[in-house]
Amino acid sequence: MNVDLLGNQLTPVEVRLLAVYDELKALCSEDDLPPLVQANIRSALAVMHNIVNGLALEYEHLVDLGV
Amino acid sequence: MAGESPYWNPKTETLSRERLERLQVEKLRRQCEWAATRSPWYRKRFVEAGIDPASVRSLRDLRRLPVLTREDWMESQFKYPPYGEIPTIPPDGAVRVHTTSGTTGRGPLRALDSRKDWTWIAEMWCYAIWGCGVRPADTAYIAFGYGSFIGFWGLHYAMEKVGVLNVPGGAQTTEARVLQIVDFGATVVAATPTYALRLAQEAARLGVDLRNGPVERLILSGEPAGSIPQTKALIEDEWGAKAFDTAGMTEIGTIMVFECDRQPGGTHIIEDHMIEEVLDPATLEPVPYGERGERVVTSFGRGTIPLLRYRTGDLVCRVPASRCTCGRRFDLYEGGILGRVDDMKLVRGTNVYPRAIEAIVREFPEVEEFQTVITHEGIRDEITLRVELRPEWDVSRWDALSSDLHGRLAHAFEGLNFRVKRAEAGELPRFELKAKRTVDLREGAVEVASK
Repeated sequence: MNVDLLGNQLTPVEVRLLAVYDELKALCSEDDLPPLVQANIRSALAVMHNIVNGLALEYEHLVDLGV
Repeated sequence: MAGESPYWNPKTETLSRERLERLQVEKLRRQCEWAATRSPWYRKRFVEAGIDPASVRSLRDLRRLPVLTREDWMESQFKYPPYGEIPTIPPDGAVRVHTTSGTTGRGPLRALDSRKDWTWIAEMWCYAIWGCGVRPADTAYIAFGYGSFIGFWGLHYAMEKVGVLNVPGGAQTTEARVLQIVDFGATVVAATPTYALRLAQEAARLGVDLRNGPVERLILSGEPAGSIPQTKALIEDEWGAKAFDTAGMTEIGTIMVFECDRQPGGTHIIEDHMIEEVLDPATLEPVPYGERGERVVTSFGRGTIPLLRYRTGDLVCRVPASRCTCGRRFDLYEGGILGRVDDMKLVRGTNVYPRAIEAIVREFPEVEEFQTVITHEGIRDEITLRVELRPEWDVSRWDALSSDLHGRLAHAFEGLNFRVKRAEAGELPRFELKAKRTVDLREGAVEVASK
C-alpha cells in the first residue's frame, strides 16, 4: 500500500510507521514466543494502532490477534 | 520537539469537510462490515433491513442503517446475560469491562474492551487535553473514584500518554483531595463541574487560596454544566483557572467532544473517529445547523462493541467549525451538551429545563447548593427551589435574595411561581459524579438522570 485512506501518497515516515505496525502484526501470529514477548507485542501493537488509525493509514480491528 | 503543534493530530483536525467526510465514509463501511460479520445483534439487523454493508458508499447511506437504543442494548443483555449479543468477542478476548453509572435504576450497561479499544479510549482524551493546552510539564490531579464506572479512566491514561505527572485521586475525602492538590502542586484538575465547585467550597473551608494557587486548567466532564456559562464562570472564578468542557459516554467508552483553548462557547466533535448526527427525536429526520436535536452517534473506536447510529438522548445544537478560530475543521456543539431530550419537566403547562434553572441560580454567588423539587398538591403542581447558602453569608439578607431568585425564575419560566425556600447548611445532597438536583415527586413521574 502506498496511499492512505484518503488517497494521499504516504510520506517516508508514514511508510516506516506502517512497516512497524505490519511487523508487530506478524509477530502476533508467532505462537512459540515466551509470555513476556507475546504480551508486550500485543500491548505495543495496540498503541501502534492509534498511530496508523489516527493518521488514516489503516483502519481495522485486531481482536483476532488478541489485541 | 513535542509541544509545538496546537493540535494533537494535525493531519485530521485540519482536514477540509470534503476530505473529512471521505475518511468517515471509508471507516463507516469497514465498521459496518465488521459489525455485520462479527456481532450477532448487528448481523440480524443488517439482514432485516436488507442492507449489504459493502454498499455503504456515502454519508447518505448512513441513514439507511437502523438505530440502536439503550433499550435494545439492555434487552440483549437481559436475553443473553451478562453482555448480550452486541459484542463481537467473548469476554475472554477482552481486557476490561466497565459499566454505566446506573443512575436510571434500569441496571447498568456492560461494555467490554480489548487492548486496542482501551488505548483508543485514552487517545480520544488526548485530543481534548492537548487541545486545551495541557503539556508534559503539567501535573494533573484526577478527582475521581476509579471504580467500575468508566468516568475519567480514559483521561488518566491520556495524561500518562502525553507525559503529564498524574496524581490519581481515588478513594479520598474531599478534604484529602484538596490537600493533595496543594501538596503535589497540581496545575490541572479533572472533575465533574459539580465536584469542582465542591472542591472549591472545601478549599475555602480549609483556608486554601485556590485563586492564587498553581492550578491553571480544569478538565470538566460528566454533566452539561461544564458549558453553562454562569456555572463555568463561577468555577473559573473560584479556582482562578480556565475551565474546559468535555463530554463522553460509557457506550462509546470515552469522550466525543472537547473544548479547545479558544473557549468558543462550544465543544468540537472528534469527527475523524465518529460521525455525529443531530436528529429530530420524534421523526429522526436531520435538523440543520443551529437547531436543537438529539445526538445520534456512530463510533469507529471500539471493535468489541461496534456503535452504529446509537441514540444518545443528549440534546445538542450543532454549528460549523468556522464558529471557532482555532483552525480545527471539526464542527462544534454550541453550549456543549444542552441536556437530555427527556429531562424537561412540564409544570402547570410550562416547560422547565434543569439547565435553565442552574444558569439562573449560578448567577447568585451566595448560593452554595440547590435542589428543585416538583410535587402535586391538591389539584395542581408545585415547584420549589431549595437553596443552601454559603456559611459566611449573612442570612439577614435572605428575604432580598429569595425575592430576586423568585423574580428571575418567574421571568424565565413564563411567570411560573417557584417557591424559594432556604435549606439548612449541609442539608442538600452533595455529588462527586453526576449531580441530580431535580426531584420529581409527582405520582407516575419517572426520574431521569443523566447517563
